[in-house]
Amino acid sequence: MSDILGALVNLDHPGHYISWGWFQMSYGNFAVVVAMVATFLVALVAPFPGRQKEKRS
Amino acid sequence: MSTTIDRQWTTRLRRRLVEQLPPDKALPDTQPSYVSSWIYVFGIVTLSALVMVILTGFVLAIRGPQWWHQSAIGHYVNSLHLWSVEIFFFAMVIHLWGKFFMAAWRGHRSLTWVTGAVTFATSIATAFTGYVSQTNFDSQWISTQAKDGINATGAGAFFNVLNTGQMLMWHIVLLPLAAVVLTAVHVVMVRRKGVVPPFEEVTK
Amino acid sequence: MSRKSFNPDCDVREWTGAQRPYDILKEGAIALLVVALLTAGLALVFGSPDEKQVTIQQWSSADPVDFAATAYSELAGTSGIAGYGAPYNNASDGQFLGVTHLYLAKMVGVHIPIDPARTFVLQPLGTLPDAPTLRFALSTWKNASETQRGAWLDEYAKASLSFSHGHLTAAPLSLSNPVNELIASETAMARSGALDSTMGTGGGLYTTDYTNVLLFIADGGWFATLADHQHLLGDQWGMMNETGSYPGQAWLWLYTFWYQIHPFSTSGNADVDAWGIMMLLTAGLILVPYIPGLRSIPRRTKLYRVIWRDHYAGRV
Ligand code: HEM
Repeated sequence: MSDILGALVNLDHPGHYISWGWFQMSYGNFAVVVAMVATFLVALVAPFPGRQKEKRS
Repeated sequence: MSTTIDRQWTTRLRRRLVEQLPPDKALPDTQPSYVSSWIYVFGIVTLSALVMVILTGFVLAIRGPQWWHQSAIGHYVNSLHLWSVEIFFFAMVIHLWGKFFMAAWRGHRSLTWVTGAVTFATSIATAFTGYVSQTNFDSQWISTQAKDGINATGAGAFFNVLNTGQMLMWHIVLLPLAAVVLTAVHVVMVRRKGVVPPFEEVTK
Repeated sequence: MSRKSFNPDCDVREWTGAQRPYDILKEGAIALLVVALLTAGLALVFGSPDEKQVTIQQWSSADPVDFAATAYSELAGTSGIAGYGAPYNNASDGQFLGVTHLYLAKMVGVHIPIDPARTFVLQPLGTLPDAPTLRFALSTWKNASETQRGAWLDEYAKASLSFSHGHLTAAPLSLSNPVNELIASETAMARSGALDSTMGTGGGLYTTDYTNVLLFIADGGWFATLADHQHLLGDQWGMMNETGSYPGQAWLWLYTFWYQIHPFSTSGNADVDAWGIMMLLTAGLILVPYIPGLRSIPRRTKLYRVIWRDHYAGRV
């Protein structure tokens, strides 16, 4: 199973789940959603390159 | 002589195309000065991920639907396909949020939004048919679960998620074609209209 | 448009101000490279799940009693599919859509006809060669009246099922009752692997349609136990989940959400209602630019001031 092309991090084991009352989500999905929100926020606030070089026309 | 030429279908189509999408709009070398945020790159990231999804899908298609269960290389190509899909949805959702908060449908751009949102729905359907075409436990479980929802709408009579051959065809022919055509229309609309200007505000 | 009808949520004055150099093709090439590397890296580090398929053979070996009980329920017409309704049969009206009371599936009709006793039990058994006892049991069953069949089924239901030394037995049972022979043969056939191939839809060597096999497996209890271990059940928000610890179809969160809350979590119409709601919401998403109120949210929340902060600061 584990060849050179196999996964370095093995995710083939039973997942872990967050549950708040009736709400449940797998760690895998949770990580993706958190990363998505974080990327969105970073994209909003990170300075975009090249703005200093511009001149008004 | 010009009247005959003028009336040609070919001429008329060319003029129409050039008029609708002149070269400097199709491939502009400048952008308005307000285009200065990382949020603008997520459309092109989504497009890049779509290219990866399709290329990796092509590689999977070469040896057929069962190959990836048997070969380490096949399994890696499957991993590439899965992760490019994850990136595709990841980028598309951020793109959607960004365009929403910019109200990027303003100024006769509503169809750009509409085609984008329809592409989003089409992509979900494409991913779903992929999940049920895996020929493993996951596809067995997902198809037997999903049938109830789809059957309840009446669509199950024709769109049978338990029919693996049918689902594979939808996944590798019909839905990707729809997604690519919709994406092409979407991107052409963006180029035609240019990037939406900011809300007007009294600035200090 | 005239100044009067200018709606800031729909209209703009097109930009005539400054432009700056911007190489979209170079941007695209870099994006493609970054996405390609990221994909290759993620695939290398995390791989992808491939939980092996399950077969009727595995099921009948792992849990022969659950298998036999399921086969019995198909014969007796008490299984999930036996009572399903459209598109498989007319056994029930199925679900109706919310307040409309429209039985959508029933209106479309039966298009994938399935008679569980025949499809899952009698037809496969009929394909077994050289089995005189089974032949006799099949013809006894076929020639019996409905009442007689009911009596046999009742008797079998009251008997206790046990499995040992590769044999399924139901006791006590009268000798004339053919049900035991049918179910025991079906179990033996399943354990040999023959049932997996016999049940493929289309009847022949080639098939690409596994409707019958999958419906049959899903009618049993064993399959759901496996899914439960993988946290894939509907009431576990399973629709979003993947086998193992992989991220799944997280974008289905809103669809699966409806199944978790009242009244849908206890409703017999949850499927069609959740679909109905999702169709409406999807239409809403598509039509945002045309929906007053919704389309004002971006202007009201002012998040755009962050996106275009250089523009508003006059830095451009
Ligand atoms: C296959 C999926 C998609 C692809 C490949 C894609 C690609 C793009 C690209 C390359 C652009 C121009 C660059 C940019 O502003 O980011 C763009 C613009 C836009 N996209 Fe998408 N998009 C997709 C899905 C969506 C979705 C789901 C929505 C929203 C529901 C959407 C709404 C828009 C809008 C409104 C614009 C115009 C932006 C403006 O005028 O400033 N797109 N898209």
